[in-house]
Order: sequence, then C-alpha cells, then structure tokens
Amino acid sequence: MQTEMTIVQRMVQIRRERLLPIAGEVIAIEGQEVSPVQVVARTPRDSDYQIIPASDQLQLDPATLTEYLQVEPGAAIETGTVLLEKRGFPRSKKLTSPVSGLFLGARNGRLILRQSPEWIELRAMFRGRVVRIVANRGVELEANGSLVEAVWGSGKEAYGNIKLATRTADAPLTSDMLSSETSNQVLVVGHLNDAELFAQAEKNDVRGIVAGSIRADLLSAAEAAPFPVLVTDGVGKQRMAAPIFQLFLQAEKAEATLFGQSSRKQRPEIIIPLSGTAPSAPRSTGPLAVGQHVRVLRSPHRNEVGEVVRLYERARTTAVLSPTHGADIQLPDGNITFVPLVNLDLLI
Amino acid sequence: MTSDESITFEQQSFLVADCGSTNTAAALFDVVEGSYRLIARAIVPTTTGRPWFDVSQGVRQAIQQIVEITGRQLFYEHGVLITPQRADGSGVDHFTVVISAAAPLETLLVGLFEDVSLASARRAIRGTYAREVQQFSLADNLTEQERVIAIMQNPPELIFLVGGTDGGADKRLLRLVEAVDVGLEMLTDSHRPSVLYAGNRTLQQQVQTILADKEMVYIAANVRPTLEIEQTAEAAQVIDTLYRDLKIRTMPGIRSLLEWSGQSVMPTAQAFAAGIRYLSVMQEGPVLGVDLGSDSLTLVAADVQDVKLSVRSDWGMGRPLANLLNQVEPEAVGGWLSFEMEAADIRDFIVNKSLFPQTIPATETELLLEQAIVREMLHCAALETLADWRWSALPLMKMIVVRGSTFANTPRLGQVALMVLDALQPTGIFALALDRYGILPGLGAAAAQNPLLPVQALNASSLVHLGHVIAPAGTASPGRKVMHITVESEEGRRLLEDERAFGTLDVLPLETGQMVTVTVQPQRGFDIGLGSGKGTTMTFPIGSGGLMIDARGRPLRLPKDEIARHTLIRQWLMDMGR
Repeated sequence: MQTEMTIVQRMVQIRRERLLPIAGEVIAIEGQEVSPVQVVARTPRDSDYQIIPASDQLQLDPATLTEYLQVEPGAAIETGTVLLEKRGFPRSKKLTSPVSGLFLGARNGRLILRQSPEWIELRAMFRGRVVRIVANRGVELEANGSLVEAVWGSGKEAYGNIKLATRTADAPLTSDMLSSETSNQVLVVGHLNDAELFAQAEKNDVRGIVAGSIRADLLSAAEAAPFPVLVTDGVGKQRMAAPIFQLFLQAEKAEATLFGQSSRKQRPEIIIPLSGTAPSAPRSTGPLAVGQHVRVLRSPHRNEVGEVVRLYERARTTAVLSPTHGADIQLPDGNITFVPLVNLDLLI
Repeated sequence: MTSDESITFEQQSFLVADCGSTNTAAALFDVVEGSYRLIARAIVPTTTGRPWFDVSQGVRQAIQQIVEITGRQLFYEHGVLITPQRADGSGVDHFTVVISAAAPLETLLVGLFEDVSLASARRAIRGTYAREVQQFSLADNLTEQERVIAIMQNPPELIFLVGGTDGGADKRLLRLVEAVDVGLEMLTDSHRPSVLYAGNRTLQQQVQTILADKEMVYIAANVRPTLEIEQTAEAAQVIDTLYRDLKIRTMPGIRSLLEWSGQSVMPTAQAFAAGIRYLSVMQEGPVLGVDLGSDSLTLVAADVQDVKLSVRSDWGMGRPLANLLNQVEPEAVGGWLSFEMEAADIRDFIVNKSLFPQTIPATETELLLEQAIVREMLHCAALETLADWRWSALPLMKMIVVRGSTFANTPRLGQVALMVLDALQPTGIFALALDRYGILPGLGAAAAQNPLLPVQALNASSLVHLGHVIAPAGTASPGRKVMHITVESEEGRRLLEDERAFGTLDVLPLETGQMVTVTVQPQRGFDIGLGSGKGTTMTFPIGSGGLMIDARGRPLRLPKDEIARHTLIRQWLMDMGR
C-alpha cells in the first residue's frame, strides 16, 4: 500500500509552470535564462474594470442605450471622452468617461470600461531556464536545486536568501532574532508562536518565513502577513523534521523561493536553485519498502523521522486496539515501533 | 438449457466500489446458499491525488485485493474487469460505482433576502456535494462593480439565482441578474459557470432574455413560490445533475469505471440515501443515516413515504474539519473529554487533522479527542439539519445507522454507540447499526439492478448491529426513578427485572443474537415515544453491544464543574464498555 509522500530533495531537476490567472501576453521566449525578478508574462488587472450604470444615470431605456453611444466597442478613451449623448430639449443628456482606457461595450444598460491597464506582471520567481511556452498563459521553467514540500502555506510567494534564525529545529522565532540583518532574508525557524512577530518581521523587510510548525491561532495572522509563511511539518508545537532542517542548514545563504499557494494538486514548496547536475524529480515510488525514510504524522512519535524495517502483510492492532496495516519503524533513538501506514509520510 | 441460461436474475454477482475522498472500498457480493452475502471487501487509499491523479487506480487496487482474498479472477490479462461472470466463476455480472471523491460544486448564491430565498437556496444545494463560495444579496453592501469583479476574479462553477415570490415584480432581482450577466460576459467560455435560475416564476422570461446568449443556463421552479412554501426538489435535481456532469464525469480515470459499469456513476450521498430507504422499508419504520466522511457529512432520514437528504461539504473529518473552529470554540470540543486539555492544543489538533485527513489515532488521548470532535461536529450539524428539515427535535427512529472511517476504525463498539447517543441524543426505543464495511451506498446504488441484493445482504449481517437502545425523553433530579424494565427470553424466562434511575447509562450484557422481549414502563414525565408515562413491550434480537439503557434524560446536561464532568464522562465510557 502507498502512503502519503513529501519531497525533500537536496539536488533534483525541478520543472514548474508559471502561469497568469487569466489569459495575457507571454514575454519570455523558449530557452531564455531568467532571474527571479524577470517578468515572463503579463496581463491587465481585473479590478481596473469600470461598470457605469448608464441607463439609471441618464434615465434611458437599456434597450435603446446603444443608439446614443458616441464610441465604438474596443475604442480607446480618455478621461472626459463623451461615451453617450442624447440630444434633446430642454437639455441634452451626456455621459463622459471617468477614466482613460478602453470602451468594451454596453450590456444590460451598463457601460463597461477597462482602465489603461496596470499590469499583473508574472515574475519567474526562481533562477532557471524557460523550457516551454504555454500560449497566452505563461512559461514552464526548469532549474536544478533543492526542493522541499511544505504542509501549509499562507498563499503568497517571494524569494530571498536563507537565514537560519534559530539554530535548532524546535526553537521558536523570538523578537531578538529580527533586526536589520534579517532584511531581504528568508528566515528558517523551528516554531512560530507569537503573532506580533509578523509585524516586526515586516518592519525588518523579511522576505518570508519557513517554520517547522505554527500555533493554529496564528494561521490567520500568517495569511495576513505581506510575505509568505510556509510550514513544513504541522500545526502545534513540533520540531522541524531533521532532514528538512539539515537541508536548510546546508543551504544557508542560498537564494530560495517560497511558493505559498496550495491546491489539491500542488502543495506549498520551497525551491533553492543550485548549480550542478541533478536527477529528474522523484515520482511515484510504488508501495512502501523496507529501508525507506518516513516521517511519523501522529502521536506518540509525531514528526520523528525513521527507517522502515519491516512491513506487515496482515493488519495488526495498534495501541488503541484498532486493527490496521502498518510497518515497523526504527526511530532515531534506535527503538522500533509499529506505525499504521496511514500515519506515515514517505520522504522522497 | 446451457449453464448460462440457468443463471437467473436473482443469482447474479455484484462488485461495488465506493470512491471516497480519502479511501476507496470495493466489496464483492454473491449468492451463497440461495441468498446474497458479502464475500470479500477491501479498502485502499483513494487515488485522485498525486502521484496517480486517476480515480480508477484505487478501484483497481481494491479489486485486486479482493482477487487476492478470494482467489477469484476479476481482471482480464490486459487489466479490464471481467463482466459478466464467466462459467468458470471468474468475473462479476454487475459492477457499480459510487463516488464522493470529486470536489464539491463551487456555487455562488444570488438572491434577495438571507432568511427567505437564500435560505431555501442553501437547502437546495445541500441535496448534493456543493459548496457555497460566496453570496450576493440585497444586504451584502457590495457595489455592482464589486459583484462583477468578484465573479471575474473567482469564477464559481455554478451561479444559483433565486429570489422573489411567484407573481411579484421585483426589479431588484433583475438588477442582480444583470450584474451576473455582465460578470459572465467578461469571462472566457472555459471559465464561464453554469447558471441556474429558480426564482420568481413571473421573471423567468426576462431572466432568460438577459442571459439569452449564455450557454449552460437552466431554469427550475421557484424555490420559494410563496413566503410559506418552499420547493427545492427541482432545483436540487438540476444541481445534482450538474455535479455529476461537471465534477464526476470529468474526473481523471472515470472513463474506464464507466465502461466497466455500463451505468452512470452515482454520488455516494444519493446512493447512501437509497440504501437507508431500503433499510426503512425492511425495518417498517423511519431510519436515520449518518455518513461522516472525510470531506463531507451526509444525513439521511427515510421512511416509506419520504427521504430527506442533507449533504454538507463544509463539514467532515478531513480537510473541512478546520471549519468546525468557525462554528464553535475549542472548549466546546473539550467539554466532551474525560480529561483536561488546553483549548490551544485542541485547536492545533483539529487543524493538524485537517492537514493529514487520512491519519488515525494511535494513542488513547488522540482517540478520545477525535471522538469528542465527532460528538461536537455531529451535534452542530444535526441541529442545523433538523432546522433545515423543519423538525424541532429528532423524531422517533426505528434504527440509526452510521458510517465513515472514524466510526469504522473505532476500536470498541460501545464507543461508537456512545458518540451517537451523545451527539444526536435520540429518544425512544431504536436499533443502532454501523456500516463498518462501507457497503451501504454501494448496495443502494446496485439495488436498481437487483432489489434483492440490498434486502438479502443487509439481512445477512453486512451491517454491524450495535444493539437496541432504550432512551426516554425527560428530565429529573439525579437518582429519581425513570423507568421499570423487564427482559424475557424467547422462551419466557425472565432475564432481568429492574428499575433505572435518572442519570444512569448501562448495557445489559445479554447474549448477542438472542431474541428478547422487553417491557418498558416509564415514570410520568418520561416518554419513550408513546406519551408521558406510557409503556410498551417489544421483541428484538440483542446486538453486539447488548441492550443499552440510556436514562440520562434529554436534553443531555453535562456538569459545569470540570472535575465532575470528567468523572461523569469517564463513567459513561466505562458503562459502555470503554
């Protein structure tokens, strides 16, 4: 039987699509080397649309509105351009554009305008090479480097240099760890337990935070922070899993990108581009096998990483007397314990 | 006559698969000694997520386990299911699939008033797996521009328009429809949601005119034709069809399952409702079904005349679990615990469980905490659902059936019974059952091909019968006499004659399967469904959990003192066999 799995790879080939939320213009070209800041695609912002209830404002029948239009759909307009005019006595009715941009058309008695676009610029966000163009949407980038999947993300994305704010995998971020030295850095910490530190981190221009764990009541504050917050191991008070902390320790000062979005298909993740050759990203590894490394997801050994030493074909009884399929796991202290397969997370 | 011709309708074999959001189960039914029996059953993780992104993989894995258990060949060498059953015994005659693994239909509700049309719309979307993502109403304080942009930025999969009583001429609804139309106009075809109008019938033509150039526009009867009348069935039917078309039929891997089945795939909730309906016919009385899934919670109440169904995609023991914290404080969950636990730790646990929905408790503390969560969630959901069904309290039931991996993985049957009694607080004399093997929806769906299958399979102990419960409604001071009980064996031998005092809960350890005749005489002020102080005599078999006598009264009251509460809850756990 297959278990959950989490990618924690020191050196791997990474391919990621960078796509606009809606159709737009792709700027990058195939084969191009890009830096994190480089814009690869862009599109006008949705929120720059203006809907003017013209029929209401001028007391006109919506069905006759188009008879009085002074501009064609698709026409460029300036602030003050007359959009609609009905001549008459004792006075004419006139409607002018409140913005510069495009007149898109009239519908249901409303005029639809798009302001001169402020563009949503889609940046590469990590150093790599464009290997594929996705028409009107964006690009697929490739890079070699480290890849760590998180279990929770605040939804934002950013890049910066890795700094281990805590020197142990279970220590919390504290106020004294935030200073001008953390400016433009991605902070790696064992645990987050103080909501006020997000504001302090913002003041110190922290680019993002990667934590082993976070208190549940801080999740809203983390989502509200202007930078991404990613959690690698879980909610509550728990240490960052040893292989993940070790990976960050070895990558200190390297440039890392945090992607905080998650969906049914994509987990939040940290990408650290590095120079050198790398194997392809790991895929399905088939059923769990002896010798593989797993993270335990539930008490009493939650978040300990161990090695599979025996798999059972038949269901066994757990400490709470539930029969379940499972495996014997050798923990870092040498003890061997039976863990249900559903409580294991294969680290690949 | 060939051997094939000798196969009669009643003797056909069935393989049913149930693809949940976390687990996929398969069960094989065949005729043994003239009656349908559960032959084998297997459960594996669902494969709609990575690395498979293919729902059929999990079904194949589960069926393969059945092959290994039974030795019966079910696949051709090229991996296709063998149907119909062959003369050599390989394959199956029928393959049926039910699915709850598809994501819910993301729905934007648009209506006039929160307490009227929108409330009815909300009840309509609870007929299937749909999730309200936003609502527009007269009271939402949004400008028209904000509504248009909201549709553009987060296009739902369905826009459900309601509002106005039939015959009215409320232009405000048309203005909302026009804003929706502008938003739709700005979306590309691939992102354009379906639209269902179930509002004021008088405005139907005008709504159709406004949306004339849009595809996927559906019209259903007004969900609120008058302020007093609600009719959600037609709209719910359209939403269910859209869920099947937009969510189930587009799942990666569904095609091969459809080919094997030769039938449409039924959402698990509807199949569960069909299964509960069968049980109500067999029990000759009302049956309540509770399906506590990972990503949804389904409640069904069925009797011979009527089936009520409520599907809540915002509740569940998996990803939606964190939503519980939007409804109640962690202390409410802690109130069901027999030990002290910090509210922050309960909150952390709930969110963690939503991140790792497939995990199961491996310590006594976490087991009891999950059971406390079930009590609180089910209690909240039941209160809302009873209100939706316009019931002031849970009416008398002949049977209550629960399913879902949280119940199925509970190590002691008494714990399952206690969770149900605490959360739902049912009254009367009723049977409790557990669909431990997760087969009830599959049987409900397969019944369309052979109605004998669910009847015979359910009679053949495919459900775990936890036992009967005697639970009078009423309240009194602790220790006051509640009822007098006499239990006699089938042969008339008196097994027990005793009284029960208020506040007690116990299980009579009678032999499982033994037929007993129970006479219950409640005291005045206590009611087992026949009126205050009125008694009855019933004959029924003893279930695995014995005969449960719940004299704790209704509504259940827990002591405010923490130590007293912990002691009492610990006592109840002991009383029910921990």
